[in-house]
Amino acid sequence: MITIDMDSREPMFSQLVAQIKKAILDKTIGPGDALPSIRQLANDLDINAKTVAKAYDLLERDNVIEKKGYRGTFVHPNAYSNSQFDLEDWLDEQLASLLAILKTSGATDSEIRIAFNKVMSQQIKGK
Amino acid sequence: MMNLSDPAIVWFYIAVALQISVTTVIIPLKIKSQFGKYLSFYTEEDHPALYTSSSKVIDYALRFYLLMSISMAGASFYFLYSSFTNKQELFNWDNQSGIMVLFLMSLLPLFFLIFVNKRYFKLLKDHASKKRTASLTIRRWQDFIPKFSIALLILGHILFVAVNQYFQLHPFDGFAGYVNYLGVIFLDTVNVVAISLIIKGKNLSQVKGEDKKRIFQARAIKINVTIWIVAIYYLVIALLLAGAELRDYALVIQSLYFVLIYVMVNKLFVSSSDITPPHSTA
Repeated sequence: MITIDMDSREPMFSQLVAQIKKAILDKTIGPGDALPSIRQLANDLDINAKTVAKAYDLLERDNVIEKKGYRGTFVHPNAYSNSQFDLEDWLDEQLASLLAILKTSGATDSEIRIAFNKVMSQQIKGK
Repeated sequence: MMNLSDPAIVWFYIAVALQISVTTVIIPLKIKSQFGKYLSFYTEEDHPALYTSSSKVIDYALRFYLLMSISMAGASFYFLYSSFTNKQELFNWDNQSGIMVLFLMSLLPLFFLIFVNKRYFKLLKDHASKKRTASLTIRRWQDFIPKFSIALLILGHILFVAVNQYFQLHPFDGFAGYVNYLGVIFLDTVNVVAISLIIKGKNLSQVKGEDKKRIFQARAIKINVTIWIVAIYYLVIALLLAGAELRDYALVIQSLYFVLIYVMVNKLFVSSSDITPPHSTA
């Protein structure tokens, strides 16, 4: 069972991702288990189906769940190990080490921010 | 003019009197007493969280519901009495349609109760906890409908097709033929849609706890499936009685069918096993 706190500052989709990963790590659900449909989960939690869809997309990207077309959504065979990986922590680590390199080379905070935003916007345009 | 010495007509009047008594007197009294028990067991002082509306407002709504029901009972019995004394069909019109009108009249107070209940559910939703729960297991219709009920439904459909096909070959006066299948298709569609909506569980977020949600769903589906089964067998029996030129007995069955439908629908509102000894939450 999962619980969503509507008053929490954490976005609902990330609460959902965390709760589903927790259920896998607690072994409440295991590899190959069928998950409820987006509509069912959205109905049960009384939230927008797009929020659940976003959470499912992120979990699929992280190989925690897999979608099998009309058959539904299932827990990925490697879900347990993949659930232990925290992308947010990994990003924090990567950015911290990169920032350390940039600061050693003498770049100021505002120069780093401007350069970061520039590269990000170029990436978005490139899409 | 109706022949009051005909046993089928006597049974018809008994069945309609029973229909009026159950739908406008007995069940409304039971509902009022059941809700009265809720109010006295879970008092507003001890359980303020349960009262999204004051106990006086709830009591007033229940009294109004009972008054409506008793008024319908009075009017219905008057129509039945005048039909009996004038030896005319119900409403000086037609017995079959008359039973339907009496059934619709008995539903009016129930619609009022559904309206109040809907408002109450909306209030519950507004006051519901900000923490929402959901199960990570999929729900399938097979988990809610027992195999025995499915077998009864399939058998009912086979019987209906067989009886309809028989009368297709040996038609009686007024037999609708293949049009009867449209009625069954409509009945099936309504029930399939209703059951799938219940399984999806929309608007159940105000019911706290996954187990309570499942109990509510299971009860609603059980009632729906029972009505579906009864409806298909009623159609088979009605066809057989009409084919055997026993239409007056078909009216008795129709009246009993309405009583059963009414009882089943009301089971959604009240269940005698629902009240447990109170524990103060104040």
